[in-house]
Amino acid sequence: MNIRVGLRGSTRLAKRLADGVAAQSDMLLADVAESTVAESTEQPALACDVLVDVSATNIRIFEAGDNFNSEQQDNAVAFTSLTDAVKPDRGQPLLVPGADAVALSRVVRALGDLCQINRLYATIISRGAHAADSAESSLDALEPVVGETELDAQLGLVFADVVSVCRARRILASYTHSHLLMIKLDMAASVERDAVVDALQQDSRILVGAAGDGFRSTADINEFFRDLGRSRGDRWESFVWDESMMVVNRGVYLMLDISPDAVAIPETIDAIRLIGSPQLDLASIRQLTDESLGLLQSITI
Amino acid sequence: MSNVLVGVLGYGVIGRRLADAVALQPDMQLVGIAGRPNSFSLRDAQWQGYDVYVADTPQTGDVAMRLATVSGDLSSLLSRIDVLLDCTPSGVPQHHRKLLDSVEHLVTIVQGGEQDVDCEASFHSMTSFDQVVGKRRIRVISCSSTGTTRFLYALDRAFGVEQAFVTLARRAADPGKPSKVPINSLVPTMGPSHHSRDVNTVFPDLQLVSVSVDCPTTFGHVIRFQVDLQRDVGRDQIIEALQALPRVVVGRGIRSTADLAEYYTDQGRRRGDRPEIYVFEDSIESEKSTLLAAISVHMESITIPETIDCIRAALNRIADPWESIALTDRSLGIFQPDASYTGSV
Repeated sequence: MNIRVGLRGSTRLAKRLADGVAAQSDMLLADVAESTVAESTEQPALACDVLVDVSATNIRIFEAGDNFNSEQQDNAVAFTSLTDAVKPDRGQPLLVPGADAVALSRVVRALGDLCQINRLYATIISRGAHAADSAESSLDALEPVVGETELDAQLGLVFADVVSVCRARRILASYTHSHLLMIKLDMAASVERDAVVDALQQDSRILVGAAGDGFRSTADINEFFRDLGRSRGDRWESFVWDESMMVVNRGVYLMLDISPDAVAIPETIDAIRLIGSPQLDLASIRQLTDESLGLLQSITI
Repeated sequence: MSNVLVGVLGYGVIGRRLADAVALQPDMQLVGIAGRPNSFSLRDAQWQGYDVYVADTPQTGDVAMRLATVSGDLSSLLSRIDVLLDCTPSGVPQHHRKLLDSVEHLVTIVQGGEQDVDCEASFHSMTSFDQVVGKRRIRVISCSSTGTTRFLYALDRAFGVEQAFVTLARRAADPGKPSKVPINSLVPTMGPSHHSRDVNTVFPDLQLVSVSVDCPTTFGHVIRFQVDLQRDVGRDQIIEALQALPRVVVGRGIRSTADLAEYYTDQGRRRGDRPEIYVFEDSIESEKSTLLAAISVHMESITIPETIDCIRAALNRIADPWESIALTDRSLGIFQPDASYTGSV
């Protein structure tokens, strides 16, 4: 039986999630409403099995039929690529964090198989605004963001038991497309660069591409995905530049680019399926999501 | 002791700032500016009252042919000076190499765009002042490398630096130049950026890795650091150590490079120049021995004071780097280290 998915929110993320749900053969989009779950303490009236609440900074996925209130939302369980086998308690929502945390979790999942990751530091060059938004920042400026309490909280939730120190700090740029992350991982042991490249290439949601193959800038990546014919040119995959990967002593360095509007969609669909089809294991869930969305597995020529 | 006689080759972003800076020094004399005869920069230099020389033979219609006075060619300028500040774009200095090498006792100082292997030494005022005495071809390291060196030197002398991860968000072009990148794009440099290697030419034992992304903006670079220090340090101690170093400003209330540009323009700085690095105080975080912080570097002007110091160091006019730094900074009106710092610029 199909999973009936109720979707609350009208953001860019919500629109992309609606398309993502529609692409799943085992899901039906039950309704789209602009009110948020937080506004209601009563059981939602939607005829759905799973309810998804999309806010500006994260996505919460509930099993329909539960009563929702703010206290229960605070008990949300993080759901990312790092999630192994979580089965939330009834009434306990899953939380898919913001795009940056989703992207970092994919990298940690892939490289964590090589050896323990002790620390992760990232500088995120973040778009100052989406092209359709009114920019609140200057048309010609770089702005280091200070007081990253919300991002810290998300990273703490996602990486608490995995990486002992995880810090990401943003610089807002006069730019509209993506987030570019400059990442350093302190590994517990030495690793080979080839192993790093292989691990990232094997991850189904990470694409390793080369500047030498025409992906010199984020504009090149953007144009490539617009040409694919995907709705809105969405890019669910993380893009890692092959030539950016370095290993120095026990440090692994790499640069990664993501679409903040689309990158969390696959994990959100996974989370919907985890609640709506509890008989499926996570590997099967992820494979179904990837195949249904049509994630690219390689862009190497 | 007579003043050092200085010439400038190339009157672009750096050349015009250096010319002004040399003219302000009590122990130096600006002899003239040399440039391509078809460049309007010669007109600009003459309007500033500087004598101009042509680096090549003028052709009919060239700017040089339309000027009221041209003082001579490059050879004649070289014959009148002790030091040439070669501010031509990357790669061009090699074109004049044979001529410059033929002038006895001439010291040539090039900018960071040149390869260090083409020079006898690299220079930063605080870390390699005594390394360039008697050298004839010296390179002042690049703008971001200069700023990075100042920041890390302040930390190293106070606490010792174990290692640094340096991430640069760089302006794609100077305000007066065409952009080198698309107007809505980020262009990463693949592999380590040149900055870590550049810093190590003047600060050899420092462990650092730098990566860099060009951004569609013009006002300045923003550099974020993750630094492991050799001991646990509190945030206040870090601020104190940074604030104690010349050419470093720690401030609050300024959010972005655009705010910085506006502030320094309001200060009456010529061209809005900011040869100090600006440390965003609110970005400073410490956790045991690890530090996170963000700074901004004004690429057009940050190497100016170091280049002035380099002249004195090369000719051994002053042996103490801090004496030269103080002299340069006073003459340029650079903000002084302030023990009574209250958190505002």
